[in-house]
Amino acid sequence: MNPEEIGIVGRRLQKLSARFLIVGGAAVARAVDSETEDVDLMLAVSDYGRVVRGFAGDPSVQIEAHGPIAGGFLLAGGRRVEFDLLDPSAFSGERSGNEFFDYVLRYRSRPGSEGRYATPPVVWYMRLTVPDWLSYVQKILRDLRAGAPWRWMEVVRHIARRFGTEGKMVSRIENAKEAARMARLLPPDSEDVG
Amino acid sequence: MHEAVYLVHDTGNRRVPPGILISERRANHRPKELHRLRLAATEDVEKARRIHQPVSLLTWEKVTALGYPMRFPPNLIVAKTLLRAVDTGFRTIPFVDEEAARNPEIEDVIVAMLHVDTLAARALALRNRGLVDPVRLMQRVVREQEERRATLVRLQDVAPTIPSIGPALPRAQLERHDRRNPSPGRLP
Repeated sequence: MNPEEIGIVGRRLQKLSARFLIVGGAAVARAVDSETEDVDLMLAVSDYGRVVRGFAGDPSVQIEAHGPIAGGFLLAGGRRVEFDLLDPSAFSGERSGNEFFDYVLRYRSRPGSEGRYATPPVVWYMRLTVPDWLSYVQKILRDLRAGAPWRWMEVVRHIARRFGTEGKMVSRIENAKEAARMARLLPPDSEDVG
Repeated sequence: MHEAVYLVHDTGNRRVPPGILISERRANHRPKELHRLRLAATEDVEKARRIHQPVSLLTWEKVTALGYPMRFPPNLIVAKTLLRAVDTGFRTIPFVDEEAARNPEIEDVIVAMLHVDTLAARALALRNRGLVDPVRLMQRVVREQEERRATLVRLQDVAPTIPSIGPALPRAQLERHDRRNPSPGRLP
């Protein structure tokens, strides 16, 4: 985890009066010893487009948006800090992106010195809800190996129910569970959640 | 004369799911009926697994979830002891180890992938170094007599005790491939 780099990007966002939550591996790493260098921040919907445009006009920032993810790097004090900005609409299912952002902010995040961190099950939910979710199962395996409990999936299902994504989430959790079993991160024929 | 393999339904076991056991004939002077296992669809394989038959499907979804995105038709991993009693349209991958056929672990998936795409098998092993048990991978390669395919893609890079049999692809070519086809996900 790299709180210093998160802080650098976070301060730039604060200058633009943007609301953000720290997600991704850094959020998971607050609970388990998961190595990550990622700086991933989810913005309020109303701030996402504005920040991307603001960063695009900043000579110290390189940014490229691909739909709900805008990735790039900024230069600060001779350092190159890579980051990804996420639009919550990509994860909000039948509800609005603002509702997802507010829900995580209010119920599923914890304060940290760099900003509020989403709880790890939110990160798992985000990984499993996107169209190329299969690509992220390996990251969940990495977290499990670092000691993350499978019961976080209970929260993932709860979030999915709330946002109307449970239909697709059940089979995705099942797939992740099968991968975890193959990797001996869950016992065979586990009756655990999911 | 020919050798034939059949399943015999244990009359004490009434929990056999319908549709996958095809009655063949009653053996002469035998009280038990002979069956073949018909596995035409994914659901059939799941039904067979539920009655502890040593079969499972190797799918592109499982391989992608383990960090190597690719597409291929499902392959049926089936215990060699059962192979000749199975009717299926799936391409089959015979395993000596029955438990590995029913509940494949990551090393078994790598060994099975040696039948589908040897370079993908290597990539899977490399991308899951922290999860793969090198000793078990060696044991599984040896048990399934896949040393030649394993050597071709230098699986010894992950499991050094795999016996080297036959030629190996040039290391530079393998390393070029290792860098290709990364997992596309950009989320954290």
